[in-house]
Amino acid sequence: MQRGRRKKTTGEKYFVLIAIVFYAAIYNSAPVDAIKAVNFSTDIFFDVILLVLAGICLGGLVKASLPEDFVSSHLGPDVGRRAYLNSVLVAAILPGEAYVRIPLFEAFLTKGAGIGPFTSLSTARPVIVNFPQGMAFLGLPVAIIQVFSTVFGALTAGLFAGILQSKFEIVKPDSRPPRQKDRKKYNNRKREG
Amino acid sequence: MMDAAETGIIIIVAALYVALSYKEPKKAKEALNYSYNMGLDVFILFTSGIAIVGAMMVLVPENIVISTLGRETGLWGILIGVAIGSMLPAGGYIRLPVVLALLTLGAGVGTVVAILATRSLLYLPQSIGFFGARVEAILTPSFLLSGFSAGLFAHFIAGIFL
Repeated sequence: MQRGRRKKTTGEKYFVLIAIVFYAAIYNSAPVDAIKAVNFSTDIFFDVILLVLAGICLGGLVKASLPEDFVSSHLGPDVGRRAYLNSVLVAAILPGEAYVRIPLFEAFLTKGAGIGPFTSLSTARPVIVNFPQGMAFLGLPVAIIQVFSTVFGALTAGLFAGILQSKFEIVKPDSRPPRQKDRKKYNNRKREG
Repeated sequence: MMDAAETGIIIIVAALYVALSYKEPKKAKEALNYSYNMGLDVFILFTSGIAIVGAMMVLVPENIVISTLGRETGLWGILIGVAIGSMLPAGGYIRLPVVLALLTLGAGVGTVVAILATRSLLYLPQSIGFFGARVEAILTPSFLLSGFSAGLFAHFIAGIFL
């Protein structure tokens, strides 16, 4: 798991820029509306901040106490069909979003995981560790619906990917990404054709 | 004011930290460090997300949201939700504020869940770099299907319980 801080992706920088442009545009056309917007935002900020902090602390707790081999032992190829459900549950308790998870999931793929469970794993969001945030923003009923729907969606995606792979064998065994330590050799071989 | 469930969650998290620091003080410190770093990472995104909510409340007319993303739009609204979700950067700190604004303006539960459940396609280059193009060829349609089926599921559940 990654320790320390990550770089902001381009999409996120644009998001900050969009916020600034929005406010500049509103202030330019109607300063009263800009003040209204700031008031809305401040109210929401104070409404949700405690639960957001609780969610962040829960994420840190899971990250620190999860055993190193947890992912591989619950999602390995020997687990069978249960791997689909396990992968969704693991994704639900692993903190961090796509940018943090992609390198982590790569390790799982290189260890020979099935494409179906791997897809479920990469599709599901951290709905359990982010539950406090979900509750803060969506309210309890919608937050609960969101958890079950996300699990359902991730399972569907995993099964779909599994069927796609078994019918068309899109990912051939030799086209899987190599382990990090073999990446240099793999890239050289690819370059040499 | 926070309700009982919200207070309960905060108490549970605090109790978990107290239990961990009693049992393994080193791990508790590590967990706090992780949380601190995560907090710093997301703070700017979180505040700009909330700032956009305020701006959306003022700028976006309620009737447009209801007519394009409202509960009655059904499948169409969910499909638009999937499209929005695939274009938004990942991370609850961005998506949740946007979704809060849409919910407040009258969007349907299925649509907002579709937005939350669809994985961002902005990370496609990074994902291809790590997994390879063939794996990504399976992942991308699966992500879209996941958002759509989650949205549909939420639409039906919300229809029954909300």
